[in-house]
Formats: sequence, structure tokens, C-alpha cells
Amino acid sequence: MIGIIIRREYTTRVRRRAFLLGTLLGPFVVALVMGAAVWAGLESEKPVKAYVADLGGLVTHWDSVRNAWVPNCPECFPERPGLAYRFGEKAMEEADFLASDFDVMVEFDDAILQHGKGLMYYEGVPSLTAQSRMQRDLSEAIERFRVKEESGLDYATYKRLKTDIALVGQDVVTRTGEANGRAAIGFAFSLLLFLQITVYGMHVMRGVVEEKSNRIVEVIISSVKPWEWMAGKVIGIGLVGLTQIVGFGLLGWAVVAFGGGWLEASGALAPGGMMGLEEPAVGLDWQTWLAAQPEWSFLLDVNWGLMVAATLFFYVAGFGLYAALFAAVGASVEQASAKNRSIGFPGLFEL
Amino acid sequence: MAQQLAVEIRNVVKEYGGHRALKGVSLEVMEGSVFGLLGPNGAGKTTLIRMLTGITAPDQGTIGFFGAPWTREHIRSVGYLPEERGLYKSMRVGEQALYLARLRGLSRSEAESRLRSWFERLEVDGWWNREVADLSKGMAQKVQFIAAVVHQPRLLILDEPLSGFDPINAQRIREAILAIRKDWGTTVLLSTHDMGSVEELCDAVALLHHGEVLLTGPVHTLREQARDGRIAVRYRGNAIGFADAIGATAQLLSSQLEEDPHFQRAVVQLAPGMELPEWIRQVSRSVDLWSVAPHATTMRDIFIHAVQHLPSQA
Repeated sequence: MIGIIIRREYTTRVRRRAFLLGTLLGPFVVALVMGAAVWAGLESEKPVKAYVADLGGLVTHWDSVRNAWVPNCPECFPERPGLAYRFGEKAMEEADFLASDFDVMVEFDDAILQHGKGLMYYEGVPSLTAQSRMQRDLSEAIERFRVKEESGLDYATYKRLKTDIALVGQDVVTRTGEANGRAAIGFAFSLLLFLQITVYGMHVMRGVVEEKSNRIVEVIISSVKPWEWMAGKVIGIGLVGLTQIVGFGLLGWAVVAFGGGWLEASGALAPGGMMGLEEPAVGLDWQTWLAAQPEWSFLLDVNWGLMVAATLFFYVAGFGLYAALFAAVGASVEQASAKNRSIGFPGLFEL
Repeated sequence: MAQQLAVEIRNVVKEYGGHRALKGVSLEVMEGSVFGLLGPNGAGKTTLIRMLTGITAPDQGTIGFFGAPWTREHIRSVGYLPEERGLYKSMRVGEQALYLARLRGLSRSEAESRLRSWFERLEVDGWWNREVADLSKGMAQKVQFIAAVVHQPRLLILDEPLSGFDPINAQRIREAILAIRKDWGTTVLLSTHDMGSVEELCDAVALLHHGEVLLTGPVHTLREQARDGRIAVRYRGNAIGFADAIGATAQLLSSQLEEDPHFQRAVVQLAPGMELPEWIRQVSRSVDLWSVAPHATTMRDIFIHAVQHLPSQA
């Protein structure tokens, strides 16, 4: 009997449009948005030709041989496939800039040493990647200027002396390291569990209230034992939530696997590619690329098998407890309109 | 062979939060009969039915089910159509009927076979794949009736089964109830306010009022008892002349003109000791009597009379 109830509770929900949209389209939309952002980044990665107007002569000098203004530190402004620099001591008039083949004009004078800001003129916003590169190149050039002018050190010595301190945590009992990224993963999974248990716990409560209010529960209870009805409802609806979690997992895996493969194939991860990695050590496969990203490399250290198993365990155990609580609240509510006022208790307890 | 008791209720008491819904109710329902459970709203009919369907249990007293004490194991032998009916709106009609039938212990193939037959019989076969939300009230009631009977229950409990049906479909359901009783020997417990259905369907009834049984027994016995010597008379003449003619031989209970103003109908109760042949002889000397017959008391009359003449209200 209980199997029949489980089957009804499960099948009537998983074939609803809302479930299919929530399970498939939801993560797909997230993946699509992320993909669109990457695609948009690639699309806007048209070559940028920048004119650097160094009004104070801080980072450039006149090269009589080449008969042009050149950077004091050529390595600060490398020529890249997507970004080319030209330099000058004067800013261009607006009309001249619009008539020129430059996409961007960066203008600064001595005041940049105080307020750290330069002006960027453009006709059509350059990509974030190009902006980031220009900002980084100019920062390094200004930094070199200041090191030389204000400390007398050579830049190599300065770089060697410059120190960045990082705090590495370690649990004194487990001897395992703790990283913010891992905590974020834990938080994300906890949030997923909370949402799933709440949403499907409310499904149980709504089901109980509706079956009570339309009296079909009288027919059911006159056919099966009350515990069979309740257990069937909780298990059936719990399986719906579990299906959704599995759906999220599979889709997430597919996005990472196929998305990573696509990024590899597109060459976006190659040195000088979209992601802007220039170190020769970085290879073309996405896992190597990920390992080189300090913000994301922890993803490769996470024991995903354990995470999935723990998520399933806590979902099953947690749902069993809270769904019963939601059902009890639903059973105590006389009318469907009153159920919204009764959600708070199990929700608060769950939180 | 002696008929077995299908349901035997003995001194059943049920209280809800200080309110005594049933005050020592005792009833007997014979196997294979159609038993009418009558009573005004709040009389305790639904409470009694819920005990027989395992939804609630008596605080005191016992319920026997085909010769054995009632247990939850018996619910498979019960078909139940509650008064306030509901279906899952998001399911298809056939799928839902299958679900309810399978909960009654039928295999999928058996359930589908029986349901298709019933759908055809009650003319809802075109609705198998439609959404429940698309059903009219009458159609939904037919589906619920089918779900209550599809497993061929030994005891079928129908709470107001005809409410909401048009006359044609109501008659179709009445015929189905009688056929179920005849074909399967199913005992039918019918809770209704429709006295026409009681007259047509029920072999016996019980009238509940404020949690007590006011009267119970076979319909023909109750009607005979309620007649209490009253006779219906059709005569030609006027009421004053008729009243003068019967004098002290009988009490004139009612008299009314027919469409033909020369004829009247009256109900009289003979005086104690007065025999009907002698009364006819005396009255016919001065009144043109056209017909004399035992007064046909309706269940509606019995119901109203019993409730209006409670000992506490006398």
C-alpha cells in the first residue's frame, strides 16, 4: 500500500511543469547566464588599441631612434593579441581621437602619484579584461616610477622585499586545513539542504491541509492505515526533493565537464587567452587552469564524493524529521488559508 | 438460513471535547440489506460512519462486523463515499480512480478492468484521460461512487450519495446501489436526508437524534406502526357533512378538496373498539364513500413526527 502512495506523491509532482522547470531549467539558466557572461566576454574581446597620454612624462620618454614616445619599462606594456599601446606626451582633442584608429585614450599627469587615478576616454566601452589589463600595466609602470624616485631601490630589490602575509588555518584536532573557499562550499550545501527541506516540507504540509479540507483523506484513511498514508506522503515527496538534488548534481557535473571542455577547445584558457594567463606553466586543460587560480583552486581539493554522500544523508535524515513536523502543523490547521501562518514554527526550528 | 448481522453496534459512546456525539447507540444491520441512517444535522450519523471506516473509534461500546469484533483489518471490506467529496485536482480521472482502487487492494490490471466497466456503465468512459479539474460536480460524484464500489465491498457506506445529481443520474445511481446489493450481496449503509430514496431503497432504517436512536426497524414495520389505525377516505360531498356523518366513530385528522370540487380526501383515525367494516357501514348511510384504504404513512411523516414528539419536548 505504502508503495502506491509513494508512487502517487512522487509521480504527480515530478511531472509538474514547475518541478521540471525548477530542476532542469533553473540550473540550466544559471549555467546559461554564466556561459553567456563568458561568451559575452569573448565576444567583446575585440582588439583594443590604446593611446597613453603621459602628460607628466612619468612612465614614458622620447626615443629619437624610433622617433616615438616609448615606455620607460617596455615589459610593463607588453604587446598582446588583444591590446596594443601607443604613447604620447599630449592628450588628443576629442575630434582627433574620434577620427583616429584608437579605441581608448588613457590620460594622466603628476597628480596620479597623489590620488592614484587616471582618465580613460573611449567610444564604446572596452571589455573588462582589456580594462583590467590596462589598469594593471599602468599600475606597475607607476609603481616602478615611485620605487625609483622615492626609495632609490631598483625594482627587482623592491619586489623581493615586498611581503604579503597570508594566514593559513589548521584544526588542532583533525590537523586539516581550513580555507574560506571550503567554508563557502559548506555554506552553499547547507543552504541547498535548507531550501530543499523547507520547500518540500511545505509540500507535505500543503498536501495534508488540502487532503483534509477536501475530505479525500477520509477515503484514504478508510483504505490504508494512517501511518502508511503519512509515511507514503513523506517518502514520496522526499524523493521528489532528492530527485531535484540529484538533478542539480548531474547538471552541475555536466556544466563543469562540458563547459571546461568547451573552454579548453576554445583556447580561452591558453596563455594570453581570454583568462589572461601569461605564465608559461599554465597548460590548456581546465583543471590545470583551475589549479592556478588562487580563488578557485580549493575546488580541486574538495572531496566531492563525501560532499554528495553527506548531502544525501543529511537531506534524508533532515527531511524525515522536518517533514513530519510540517505534516503535524498541517494536520492541526483547519483551513488552507491558515497554513501560511503556521509555517513559521517548523521553519524557525529548522533554521 | 438465518440472516447474519453485517453490523452490530452496542452501546457506543463518543465524546468530542466534552460534547457527547453518541450517547450509547445500539443498532443492527442485517447482511445484504440496505439500511438507512437518518437524522437531522448533528444527530451523530457521520460520527457513527467514521467509526465503521476506521477514522475514529468509540470511547465505549462495541462494534461487530459480520460476526467478529471490528478491527482495522476490516477496512478493506468497506466501501465509503463521504458526504463532502474531494478528488486530487491535478490528477487524471482514470489515474485517480486507479489509485483509489489499488489502495483497496486490487491489482493494477484488475482495477483497470473493473473501472473501465464501471465507467462505461455510469457513462463516464470518455473522461478517463481528462483532468479531474475539468469534471462537473455530477461527473466527479460518479467517479467517487465508482471508487467506493470497485473493490466489491461487503459493506458499502454511502453518505448522501444522491446529492447534486440530476433526476436521471440520481435514478442511475439508485439502480446501481440495488444492483450491487443484488449481485454481490453487499450490505449498504445509506445516510441521507432524501426520504424518497429511503422509501425506494431501504429495507430498514434508524433515526438518530442528538446522539441517540429515536427509532429503528424495518421500513414496513415502522410505517405500519406509524399508521396507528389511520385510514384514508375519498368521498363525494362536503367536509361539514362528512364530519357530521362520522360523529364519534372516528377523529377527522385532515380533509382537503380534490381538483374536482365534488370530491374530497380525508384522513381519519377510528375510535377505540371501532372496526373498519362496521365504520364503513355506518358512514356510508349518509356519505357517498368512493374509497377507503389504510393511510400510507411516508418516512418523511415518520421522521418529522418522531423528531417533533420527543419525550423531552412533550
